[in-house]
Amino acid sequence: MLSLAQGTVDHICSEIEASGQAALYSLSPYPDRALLEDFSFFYGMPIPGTGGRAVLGLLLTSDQRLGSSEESYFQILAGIGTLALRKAEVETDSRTRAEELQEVLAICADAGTMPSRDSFLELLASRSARFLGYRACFVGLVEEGICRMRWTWRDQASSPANVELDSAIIRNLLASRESFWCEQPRRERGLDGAMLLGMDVEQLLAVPLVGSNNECLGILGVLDRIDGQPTSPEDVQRAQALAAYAALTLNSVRVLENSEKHRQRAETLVSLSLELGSFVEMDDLAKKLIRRGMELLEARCGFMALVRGSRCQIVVAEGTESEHGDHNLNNRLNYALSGILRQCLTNVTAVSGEKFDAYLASELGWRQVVLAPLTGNGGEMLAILGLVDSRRHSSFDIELVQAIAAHAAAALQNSQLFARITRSSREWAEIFDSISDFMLLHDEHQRILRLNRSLSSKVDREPPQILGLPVRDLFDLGNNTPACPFCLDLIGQEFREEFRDPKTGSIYLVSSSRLRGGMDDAHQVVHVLKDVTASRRAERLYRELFDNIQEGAYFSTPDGRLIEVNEALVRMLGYDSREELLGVEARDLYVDPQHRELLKRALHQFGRLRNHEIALLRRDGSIIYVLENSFAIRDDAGQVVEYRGVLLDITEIKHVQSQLLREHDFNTQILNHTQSLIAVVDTAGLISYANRRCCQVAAGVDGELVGSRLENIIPKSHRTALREALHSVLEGKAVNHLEIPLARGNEAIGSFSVNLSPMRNAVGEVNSLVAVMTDITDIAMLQAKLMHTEKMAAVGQLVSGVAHEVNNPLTAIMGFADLLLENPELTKEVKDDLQVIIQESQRTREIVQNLLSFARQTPPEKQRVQLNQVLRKTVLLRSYDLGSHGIDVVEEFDSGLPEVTGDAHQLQQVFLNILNNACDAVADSNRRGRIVITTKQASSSAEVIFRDNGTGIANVERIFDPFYTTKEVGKGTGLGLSICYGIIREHNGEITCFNNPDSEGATFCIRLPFTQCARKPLAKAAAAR
Amino acid sequence: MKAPKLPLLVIEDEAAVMSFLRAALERNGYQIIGAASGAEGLKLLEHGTYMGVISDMRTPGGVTGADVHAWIRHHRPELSHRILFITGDTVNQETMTILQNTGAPCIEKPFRVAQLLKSVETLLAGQRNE
Repeated sequence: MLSLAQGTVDHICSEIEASGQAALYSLSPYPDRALLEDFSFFYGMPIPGTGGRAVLGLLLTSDQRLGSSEESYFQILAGIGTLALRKAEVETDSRTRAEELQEVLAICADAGTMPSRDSFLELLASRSARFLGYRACFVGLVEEGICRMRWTWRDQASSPANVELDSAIIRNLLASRESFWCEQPRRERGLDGAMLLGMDVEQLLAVPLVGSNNECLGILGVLDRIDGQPTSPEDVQRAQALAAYAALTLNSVRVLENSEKHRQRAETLVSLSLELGSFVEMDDLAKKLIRRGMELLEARCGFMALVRGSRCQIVVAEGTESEHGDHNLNNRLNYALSGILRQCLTNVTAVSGEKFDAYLASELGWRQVVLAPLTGNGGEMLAILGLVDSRRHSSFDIELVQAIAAHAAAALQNSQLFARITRSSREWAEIFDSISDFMLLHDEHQRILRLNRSLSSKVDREPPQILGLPVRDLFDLGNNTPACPFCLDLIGQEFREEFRDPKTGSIYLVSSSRLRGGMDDAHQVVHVLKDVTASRRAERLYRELFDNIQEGAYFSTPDGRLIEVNEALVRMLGYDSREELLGVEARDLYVDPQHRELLKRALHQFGRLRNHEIALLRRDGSIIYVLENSFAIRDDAGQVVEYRGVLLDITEIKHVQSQLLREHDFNTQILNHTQSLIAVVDTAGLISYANRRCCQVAAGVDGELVGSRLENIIPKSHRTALREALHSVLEGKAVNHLEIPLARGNEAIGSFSVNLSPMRNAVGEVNSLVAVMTDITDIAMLQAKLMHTEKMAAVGQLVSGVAHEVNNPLTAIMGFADLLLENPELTKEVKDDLQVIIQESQRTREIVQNLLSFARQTPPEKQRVQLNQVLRKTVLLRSYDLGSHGIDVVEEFDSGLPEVTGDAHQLQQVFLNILNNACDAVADSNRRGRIVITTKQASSSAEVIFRDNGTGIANVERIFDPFYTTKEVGKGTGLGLSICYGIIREHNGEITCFNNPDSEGATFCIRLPFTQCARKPLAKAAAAR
Repeated sequence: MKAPKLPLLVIEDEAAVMSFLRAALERNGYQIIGAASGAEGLKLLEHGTYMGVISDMRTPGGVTGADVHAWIRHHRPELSHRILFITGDTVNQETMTILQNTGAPCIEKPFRVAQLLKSVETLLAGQRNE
């Protein structure tokens, strides 16, 4: 029943308590009095010893009244009740205390077993509230001098919190380490609403958690008693007791947690460094780092930027939700960071969002940014890690961030180094592979460790197939050969410099180096094989060419030092050896040293020199002519560093050339001065060459001679014959002595002998023919002359024989006649007859003598003769006769006529003979005779001409024949002119005669050669004659 | 006329000329031994001793006057200046050369008796002077 009217009872009891006096209360004013049935009064008295909290009450009806005795009984009862209550209270209290103690210990024990501070806090919060009989509880911890509410328990549920408890009361509490409690704390000044968590808090009890060293660790606060009772000192005591134990536990939890934190931190760092260490890519590393940082500081988002000089470049940003795209954000961040970079950022620093970047602060709501520099070994800033709006800022966290940043810096540096190593390794591998020379790495056992692409493609095997094999397998060398054909020992000291692949014949230049191996001390060897087959071959070819060409080749420097010469040049210049020639200054080789300067200038100006003819001195001082072809070699700077050239010995050619030239001149002279007509005719019968005489003779023919038909220059009547002849010559048969009449220019037609000879080309085909046409008109005349000469010689021989035969009988006749004359017995008559015999014998003898004279049996006695003088004497001999016969002799002498060599008497005999003949001729003509004697100079002889106006000569051809005479019998022997002929021939002269073409009479012409000064006088003829 | 001790050798193939020479010289006191050819003349020269030799230059039988002269110069040098040539062919170049080389005197056919005797006397006079 009472419980039904709790409010009323409570109200009354509290008034009793407050008054501490027993009193009678009317129940009528209380609204729930109906529940008290018909009770109208409540008599209550406080039970002493309970602090007024216990009231002994009596419900009285309206008609019941207590008397004094009843009151006394009631007081005694109250007293007894008090004692009993006290006793019960004490019992209860001690039991409660023991339970409480147990509870506190249990809580602390439980809390002590909690794995973390948070679970401890949770436990503490929930258990404290229940234990103390409060509805809610919170635990605040002092961290970094600031007290924060860490855990709350309310409505049977606990949750973590993070609210700063920064009020005067709390500060006071923390400072004084004294508990604080109050009713209606919202009315308390110095408590802010935040700490009350928006709870409708009626009561607050807060006790400090004081640690072992009197350090205030935090606050344990309970709110609102469940029973609605005001906070009692017992509550405070209990709370304090709990707090003391909790503080102890918290202390230990803290210590534990600290060590756990350190452990975790170490773990974090270790795991981070492991994680980071495993990231080699910058992006991955940055992402991981940012996430870690975000986790650690419970940040909203994070970013990382690489520092490049004075600028920053965002690598990655995490957790940002930019409405303007990452690009824009990145730019913004870069801009902001670059500004930060200008301030010296050495430690982890928290910057307000506004200060960091107003835009980001306003647009993205960034309130705070923690910036951690990533510093390299040398103190240089590598990157910046930024964490935005982190919830944890404890120095521990910051330190951790700093530590992470340090690790990240190392990792970043590693990553960069690794990236660099990776890049250079990749580059190295690419280079290794891209080199066209064969490259090969082998280990100390000469097994292949690596080879480049060109080598693997050369052996046509993939690297995996080859690795680990001995090197020799690459070249299919036999097992009995060393494992590496390029190493000369097993320790990697001596290497082969050249290698010839026996399979392909290729020649390689091997360069090798010994490397220290990676893991152990074993060495490795790298061989680089350069295929020099082509260059070797080229070198060999060049060398062979250089050594074997007929031309002399040289390399020289511009200052005149010979660097290289070939054997041909050594031979050409007459030196004993190359070495000897190389010791000679180049300019000393020139006949004219100035020449070298000219060549140098040309080479410097034009770079090369073609077919330049120069004269060089051989070692023995003789001169050779060479044709020089040279060029200049320039270095990269364009300076001429070398001359190279080839010299062709043209001394012989020059000699031959001049000889050819002479021969050509000679031939030309012959061709142009010969009296023969010479023409070259092609297979079509057209003239391709004609000599001068040919042109002269053919002058009458129309058109150009060269190119016209040969037959055009001959009379039509003979063309068929010529054509046939040409035809047969073109078949290879020469035609000789074809007689063809030809008009000799403007002169009369002469007789020509034509010889046609085929000319053949290199393969023996007739490709043209030579026509030689000789004017035989004159030859015929000469032939007649020759025939006459031969006839005269024959006559001479005949006469000589006859004379000899006649002389013998004549000797006998004349001798015996002489002997008879000595006979004295003979009569005068007989003697006279004998005289006649002797006389006629004498005459016969003279005739024979004359015959012998004609037959050139008498050599002339030769001396220098003045013909004019001889002629004058001759005319003088006959002057009387001539005058008496009325013949005029006209002398037309060339007074400057040179002397001739001859026998003056014989010549006089000749002149006399001719003069006599002339006299006889003019005498027979019955005209007044006139004989003109002329002397004049012909080219190399003197001419004596006797021209008369006589009867002329009947038979000019026979006039010099012996015994030929036109005179009447007895007037001449017919030997006169024959003797003249013989004499003149003995004088190497010529005697001719002809009838005057223009007038009467005949002309005798004698030609005698002039005396040649060099000629010695001839030996005198034998005395005996 | 004194009688010479030794004969003259006359080499002449022409019988008429030989008989004239024999007649002309014997009548003038010379002893003559005749030979009709050069070969015969050489045979006589080998076996006999002569005061002098008169020889035609052109003689038959392969041995000419020049050959006879050469033989004498070699085998009878004392006679080498006692040779008189006679010839009908003086202007013959060959004859002229022989005369020039030997330096021997020569008379041309036909000749008079007086010319012959004078030449022989001149030839032998050299011997007497020796």
